[in-house]
Amino acid sequence: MWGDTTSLDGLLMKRTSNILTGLLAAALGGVLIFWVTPAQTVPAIFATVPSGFYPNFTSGMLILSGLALAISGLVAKQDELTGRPASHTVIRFSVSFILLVTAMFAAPIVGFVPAGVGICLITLLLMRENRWALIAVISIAAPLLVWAVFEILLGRPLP
Amino acid sequence: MPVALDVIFAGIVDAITFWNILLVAAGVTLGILVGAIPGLNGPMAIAIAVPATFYLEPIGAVGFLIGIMKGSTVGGAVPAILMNTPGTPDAMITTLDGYPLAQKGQSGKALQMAHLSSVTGDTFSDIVLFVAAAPLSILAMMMGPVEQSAIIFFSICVLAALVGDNPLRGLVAASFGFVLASVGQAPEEATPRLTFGFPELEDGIPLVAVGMGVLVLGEIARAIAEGRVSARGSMAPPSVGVDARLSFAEYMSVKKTMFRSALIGTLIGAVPGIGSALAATIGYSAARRASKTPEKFGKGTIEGVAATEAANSAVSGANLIPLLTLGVPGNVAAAFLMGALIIHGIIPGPTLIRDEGQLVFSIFTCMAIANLCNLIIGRLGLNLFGMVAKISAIYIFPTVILLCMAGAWVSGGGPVGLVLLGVFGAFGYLLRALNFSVVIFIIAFVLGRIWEFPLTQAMILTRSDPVRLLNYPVAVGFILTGLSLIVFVVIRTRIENNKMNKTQRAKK
Repeated sequence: MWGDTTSLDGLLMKRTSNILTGLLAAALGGVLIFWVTPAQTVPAIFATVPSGFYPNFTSGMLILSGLALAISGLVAKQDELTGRPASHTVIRFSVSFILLVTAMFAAPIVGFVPAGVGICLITLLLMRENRWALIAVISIAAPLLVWAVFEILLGRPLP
Repeated sequence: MPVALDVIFAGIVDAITFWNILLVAAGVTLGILVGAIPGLNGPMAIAIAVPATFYLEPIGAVGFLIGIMKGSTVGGAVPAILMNTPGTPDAMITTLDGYPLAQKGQSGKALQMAHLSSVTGDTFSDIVLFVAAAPLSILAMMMGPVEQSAIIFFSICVLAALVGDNPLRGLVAASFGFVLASVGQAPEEATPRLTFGFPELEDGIPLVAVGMGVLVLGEIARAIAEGRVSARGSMAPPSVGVDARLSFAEYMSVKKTMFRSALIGTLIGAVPGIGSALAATIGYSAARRASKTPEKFGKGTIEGVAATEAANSAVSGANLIPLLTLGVPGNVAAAFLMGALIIHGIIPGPTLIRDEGQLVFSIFTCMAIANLCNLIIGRLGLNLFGMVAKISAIYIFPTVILLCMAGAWVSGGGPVGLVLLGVFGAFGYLLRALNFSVVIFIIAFVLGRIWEFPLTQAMILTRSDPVRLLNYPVAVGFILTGLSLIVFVVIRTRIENNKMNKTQRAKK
């Protein structure tokens, strides 16, 4: 019987996780070396070392370390699955992630304070806060406070 | 490379200004407050504070960050003693004796012991740093670009081997950090590289977005996702009378313990990657072994609190030894300090003391001022910080997220900075969820920015021929030692896992 764990890594057995993440890292390194870096690097004309040397070198490290991780998983004995993440963990993470990125995109358009109110509201609801008066106070006060510190105290304009 | 006395004095004088002292004191206060709030820690506070330092002079900026770093180690002990909840991971062991003391009504004594031993350990390691930095720099300066590249590779191997439970995962995390550090401009002709057409990325991915995203938002996202935002212990009863104060005799009775722990913390702190949590554990174990009354440990003894706090605080000064002599940050806080120095045009490394000796001694002076501030502010505000420890995460997390957003915006990232912040927040969560070390990732990201230069020079010197590396035995030694360490830890971990699996099967 699986116990509850909060780590997403618990979805997989350690051995399988090592193989998959290792292969993914190595594949990413390969994509970087063969496609992304050549396409996204403006060649230097007089440089003694090509502009793409360092990204390729570090991508090579990614391939080697990824392959080493995958191989260590392949040669390891099958281990026991000790736990899996509860479904609410995955849902909460997905919601947190989508909302965070949405809010980051929205802030320059709608402004810092309105976006901040939304972020506070959603964060507090995700934290299972159910005192609505407190939610309202924090959601309004926190963005205004941060806005005031940066705009008025430090004189740094926010969106 | 003798450092001239006039340079030392000029550095000290530069640091002792009203503004700098105020900034260091503000940093210490902020650090203690942050350390006292469970769920927040020093590196997170430094990540959030880095954008604010853009507008400060280098000495004040670094002094402010050093203040936060030092203050947070003191603050972490407050909730550990009062609520059995460590404010920072390195205060975990402090709960073993701190909370039982508090339950006996001796919370005041325990807090003062933690505070004084923390300042003592910190001061000890700072003195070692002041004395050792210049001689170590002389040794480091004898090395050329090939050796410097090899040392950075070696440091990453040490980090991968010692942080986390799988060194190969550590190497993958480091490689991610290095790849992301290569975004920006190629050094020789400043041609854009991996910028995907965004001019904002031509100076590289902003450290602020990566640091705040991975370290702060990633941690908050995990805490929210895992629903661990309200796990607090109950508050211990207040102490009165003689139990509320630590006498001088009691302080002196644990001087040997504090010295031993400070030495352990300093030695551990000088090695990149070994955190203060391990120093606290070893310091505590050593104190228990050496104690005449080991049976009192774990039941509430000031000796246990002193051993832990002196050891974990001694790490912070010693962590700057590899940073200031080799340009290798020993932990995340040092990595952010390095980032802040780079932002101000100062590149830490073997030549730093020679080229920027005055600044280095100003930094040392700021460290000494920070210790003094820690002593005074900690003494005056212990009760207040105890109240801060009770502040709920529902007030903290939304405000911290907004501070990160504002920091990413004002540090020049603009809309791209905000998007990067969100992306790296998610990336930080994924790193944690998949058991990759965020510590190694961030250190590699910061180191990656300076590694390219010596690495490129090394490629030119060796004409990209690995056989020519044999002309550089010191470099070969570092590379082989690093790789051997990884192989050793991988094999040892595998043997231990096999033993554990066998034991579990036998139990079934």
